[in-house]
Amino acid sequence: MSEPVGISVVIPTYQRCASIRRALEALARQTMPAAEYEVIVPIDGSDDGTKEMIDGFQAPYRLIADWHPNQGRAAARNAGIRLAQGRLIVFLDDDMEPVPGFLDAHWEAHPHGSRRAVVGPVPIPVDASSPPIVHYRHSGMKAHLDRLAQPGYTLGFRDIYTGNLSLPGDVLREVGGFDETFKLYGHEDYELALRLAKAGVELGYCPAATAYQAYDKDFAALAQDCVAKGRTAVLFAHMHSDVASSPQLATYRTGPRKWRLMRAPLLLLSKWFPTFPEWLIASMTWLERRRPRRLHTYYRLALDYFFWVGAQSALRERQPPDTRPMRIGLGLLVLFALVSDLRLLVRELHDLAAIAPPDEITRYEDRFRELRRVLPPRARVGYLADVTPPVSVAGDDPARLAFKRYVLTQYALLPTIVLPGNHGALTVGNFDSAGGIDPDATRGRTLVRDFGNGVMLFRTAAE
Amino acid sequence: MTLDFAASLVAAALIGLLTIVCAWPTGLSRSRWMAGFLGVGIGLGLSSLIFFAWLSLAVGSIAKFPLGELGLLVLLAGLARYARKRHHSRTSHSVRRDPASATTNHPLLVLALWLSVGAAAIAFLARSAAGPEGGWDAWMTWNMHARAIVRGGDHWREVLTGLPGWSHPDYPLLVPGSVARMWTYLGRETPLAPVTVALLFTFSTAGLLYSSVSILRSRAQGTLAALLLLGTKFFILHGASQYADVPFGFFLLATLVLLALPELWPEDRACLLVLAGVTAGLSAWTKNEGLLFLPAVIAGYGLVVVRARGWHSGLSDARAFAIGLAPVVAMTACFKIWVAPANDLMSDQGFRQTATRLLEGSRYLQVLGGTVQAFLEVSGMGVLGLLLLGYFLCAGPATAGPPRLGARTAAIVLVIMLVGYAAVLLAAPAPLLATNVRSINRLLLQLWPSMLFAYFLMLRTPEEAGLIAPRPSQPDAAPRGSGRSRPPLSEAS
Repeated sequence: MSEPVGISVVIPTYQRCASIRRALEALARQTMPAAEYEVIVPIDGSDDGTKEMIDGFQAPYRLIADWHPNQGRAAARNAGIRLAQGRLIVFLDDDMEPVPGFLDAHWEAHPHGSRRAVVGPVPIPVDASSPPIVHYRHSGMKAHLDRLAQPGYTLGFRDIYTGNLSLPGDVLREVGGFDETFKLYGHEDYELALRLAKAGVELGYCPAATAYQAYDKDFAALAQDCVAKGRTAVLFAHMHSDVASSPQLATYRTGPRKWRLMRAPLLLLSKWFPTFPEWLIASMTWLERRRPRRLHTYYRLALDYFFWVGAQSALRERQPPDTRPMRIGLGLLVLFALVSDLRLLVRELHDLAAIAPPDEITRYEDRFRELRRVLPPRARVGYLADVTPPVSVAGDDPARLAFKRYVLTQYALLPTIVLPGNHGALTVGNFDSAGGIDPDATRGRTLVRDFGNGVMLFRTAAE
Repeated sequence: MTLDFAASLVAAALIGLLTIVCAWPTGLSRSRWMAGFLGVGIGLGLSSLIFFAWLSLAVGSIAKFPLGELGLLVLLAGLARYARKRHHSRTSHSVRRDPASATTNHPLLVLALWLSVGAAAIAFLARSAAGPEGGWDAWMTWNMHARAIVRGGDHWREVLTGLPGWSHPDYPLLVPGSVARMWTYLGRETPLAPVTVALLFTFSTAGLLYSSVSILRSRAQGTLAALLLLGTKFFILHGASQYADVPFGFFLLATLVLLALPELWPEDRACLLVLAGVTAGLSAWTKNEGLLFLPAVIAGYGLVVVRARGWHSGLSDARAFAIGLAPVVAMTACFKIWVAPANDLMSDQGFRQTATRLLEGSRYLQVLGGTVQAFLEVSGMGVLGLLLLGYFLCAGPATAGPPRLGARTAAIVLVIMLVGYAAVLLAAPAPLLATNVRSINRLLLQLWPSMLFAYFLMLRTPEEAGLIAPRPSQPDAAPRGSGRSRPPLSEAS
């Protein structure tokens, strides 16, 4: 058993070898004597050489690395708590660089016998070369820290973050540590803070316990975090329905109306097309390169959308799917098909029963039977009728009727080819009756044979 | 007569089935229903092609054609036997049946489907009994061509091409060839032949839609797709009118189905693509619109497959597709070059005239108006369209493992076809525009079975939504898409 220390610093990490090295180096420069604190690094399944780096790190303080398979941040912190021997436990994120007086400040914020949980500031440093997303995060964090630093400000559980938090180890063990059902990013800190507040732990802020955050995420990574936050917000609300849920989860019906109107269809699209959020990330990345004036507004709106993507997806998973609309839709489709079929059936049977005379083609076959016997096959013959058929089928009733009769004549007389006007030596006459023929129409033609039913065969006079 | 008639049908169906076995030896083992429906359509198409070849090459008297076809059948049977033997000797793995064959459907859906099939079949037969010669275009074009071929005897070419322009003697011969072939078997002309051809194509299309969606998505989904196709009044009436649009729609659907299946049975990829080539070729042998479908399907499938699998895979797919396509297209080209006169749409199509027409705003309005009207007609005054939209909103898109490439290919090909149709209409000579605008309903009808196929491929199934419990009777018979979907964004990180 090693000597007990005053502070145990717990830094859970995942795939951030370079960042954790910076944090360890910063902790080596503390004003507090190295014998008075230890650093525990629960490695949450990293395979980027973090374990090897820590094993070879020459730390002036006691350094423990504990590798375990990936289980999420809450489980990793609990693993750190189990190994911690200090009276005070300080949680740091792996991208933090604490200032030299960081541990002293935390120590002083916890007078002996107090039950306090203290957060320190985590400003994000920026310069002109920082990407726009870092500037955006910087301004958001600055506003938050300014609010915490206001004189007389009382911290609520929603102000607590575990990136820079200290509290007595026994208090932490008393409330049961972090809830390991939080496997994704976000809300495990609110959840712990809420239980601490319920256990009568005072929540405080210590401006001197500063740790600078080396923010290195791009928009895609931030969007992933927001989706995870949306999912864990739902988990949080489900666990603690007795308190107001996460601040963002309560904002669905607040905010600019225009954005809310736009967000709803965007969320619907993401439900239908799983790749839609990826398109949006690609669009935002493109927008980042152009750096428009209102980029921060776009960031805010896009990240709000990603939060709701996560929240809605978690809600869908929690609630049994409402299959009623689909059931109704399915029923309507089947009903439509059946009604349509039955209506068609009734109509067709009715039409069939109503038809008395033979169909037109059969009538034409009968009408031209005699003529077909005398016509030379494959010959081209002319065509005469009461009304001259147009060349096109378009037109009103009389013209269309004339064309139809012409087509029927051709159909019945095949393989003889029938063409309007004079074609070849013979012309077929297709009249309504034998008596009502216009003499002008037949001028220049000699009647070869009258079949008695309005069908006549002429020979062209010139021939 | 009955025996002759049955012989003509059995011969056509056997040609189709044996062709499927030759090109896709495991086809019948995979799904008998789908192979059967495909076989009927492919058989009718190929037999008309064989009939055309017999006539063109003047192999012998037209009356001896049934004997010639019998010889070909024996040859095909031998080839099919050889193909199956070769396949069995090459592969050791057992053939995986289609997933749908091992699942059960909801009894109410099954009842609805049978009611619908019954009602549609009786309505079809009633319409055919009332007008056995079919609709206007059937006797003016398709059946007239069949008459010209049969009555023309040795001079069929002169009679066919001598027909007046309004009969469109340049139109391909799948439907007339099938009818004329049957009349040749029977030795006389009877409306029973075109009625049967129309009946087979209409109900094979519905059957193919049912079986393919059942296999690729779920049985309930397939039932719903078939119900809606049979519930499309215009489809049944148009089928009974003996026009070539329904057969053309069959080949479009068959091609898209065959292009979607390799995702399910990757080991049959080449076989399925050869058959897809055959059906795509037969579409061009059915209607001139097939000449648009060919580049559309090559572009659509090429785009999807090259993007998903790379150039190498795209080229090997193209080779298999071309093997099936080439003989059919070659025969179609022979007809177009040596028999058919110039197409009226293609005449008067100089660059300047076309450009002038394309710049006329009124044409766009005319085509748009015609399209809206056609859509209302096909979709039961738009009710079906609204229902389909509403159902999509309720069900949402497929969330788990749909045949993505097949769905994408179908969607892209359909879009290209719609754009192509619009372009042809807009560029058509003035007298034809009014006529063609009235025919947009038929263009939509050609695409309708494929649209339903694409729609139900992309849609979440009732089984996935939990409306119908999948009850697999075999351990490996989970419905398509029951696997893990892509992880959510947060988990992907």
